[in-house]
Amino acid sequence: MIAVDTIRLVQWLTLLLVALMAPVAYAFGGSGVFWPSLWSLWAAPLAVIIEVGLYTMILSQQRQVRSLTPALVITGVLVLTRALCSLAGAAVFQQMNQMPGVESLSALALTFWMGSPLVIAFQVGLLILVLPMALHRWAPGFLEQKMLDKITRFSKSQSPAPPETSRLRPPPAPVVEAAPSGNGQMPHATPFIYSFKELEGFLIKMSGLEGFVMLSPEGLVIWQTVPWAAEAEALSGSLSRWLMGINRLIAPESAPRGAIVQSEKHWIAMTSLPGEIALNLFFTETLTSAQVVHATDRAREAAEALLTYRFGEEPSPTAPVALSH
Amino acid sequence: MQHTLEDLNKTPGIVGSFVVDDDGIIVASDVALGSDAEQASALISALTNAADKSLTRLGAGAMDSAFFELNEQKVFLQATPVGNLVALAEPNANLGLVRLEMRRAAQSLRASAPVR
Repeated sequence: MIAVDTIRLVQWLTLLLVALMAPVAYAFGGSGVFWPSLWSLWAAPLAVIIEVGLYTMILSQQRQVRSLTPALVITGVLVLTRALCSLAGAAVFQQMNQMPGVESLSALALTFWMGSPLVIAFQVGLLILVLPMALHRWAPGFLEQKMLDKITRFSKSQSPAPPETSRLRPPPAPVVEAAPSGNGQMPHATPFIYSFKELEGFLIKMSGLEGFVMLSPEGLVIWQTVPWAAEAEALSGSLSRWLMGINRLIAPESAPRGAIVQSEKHWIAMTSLPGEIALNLFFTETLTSAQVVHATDRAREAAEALLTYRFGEEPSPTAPVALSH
Repeated sequence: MQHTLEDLNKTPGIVGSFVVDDDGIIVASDVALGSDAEQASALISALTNAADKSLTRLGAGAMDSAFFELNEQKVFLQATPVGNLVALAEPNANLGLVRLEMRRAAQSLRASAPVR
């Protein structure tokens, strides 16, 4: 069965519709639907200004994007997209027909681009409709969190389930991340994690996380990102020994599940992963204990998903890890 | 000090608490400790001092508090002027509440600590 990417299909169909809208309008209404007198060169900048204003206003009012700067960037892209679509539509139209009084391709493209307010309104509307899906794929950082969550849920509901027999690349468990701001902890879906580099990318985006160190059972560093302490390895090793020592005293028969230490400048969370791997996370002191606990849980889920994907149910990273960096 | 520990132990989830000084001697206790309690407290103190020194030496600042989770117990540590306040709690104890009460107890111990 061929898997169809619904979102990508919708994007391409929309672009096709935008490109062919002017020729179709001409086919139904003749040259009367266009205002040939408008496409003189002096009117072009005015049309661009009006279009830019229109896009910016719609984007700002709908609150799809985070701020004005992304809105302006997107506006520029949309203006260019509509212009290119008009050129493509004109090229197609010219192959099949001729518009009286308009002979060159550039003049026809200009006519299609700014000749009919009705066509322009439809084109702008279509581009605005499909914009969130395009941004979700190409520039998710521009989108508001609420819109991002909505599209992620939609795209997940559209994606077909993987065939049970496929063992070529088993997908790791999806992980969730803490909300980047506020006291509420709202989970949202994140990309799958296939490598330590991707895990690093995921973890450093977590609110308040300064760095992390992942240690093998022998106390060797598997992966680390700690900008503030050159001797993070020594610190992690020391804290891990401390945790193991305390654990031996209080509950010698069970393994420690984790610890959180608050110092004057940082929170340090130590958590155990399968295969006796330790994950130590360093947070800023501005977080609350609840936020630290929540973020630690999310980080552990992400790391466990990666380890399970890389090493199976019983991770044993001693040898392969060195090769997988 | 004993009164502070008794108050602390009224917090839901906390099953006992004690204060161990920097030399590993139990200063006050309101928990049923086993026969090797003194040895354990000495080791806790030594290990915590070592962790505290590591943190300070590596620029993370002195240790203020710690919490660690075992399979059947949660253990909370809070640095105070008289030593480390240690609370043993049930696995389902409320982390935020216990931390809050630990801080209150630490303030109370600080207020009652002899001026050095």
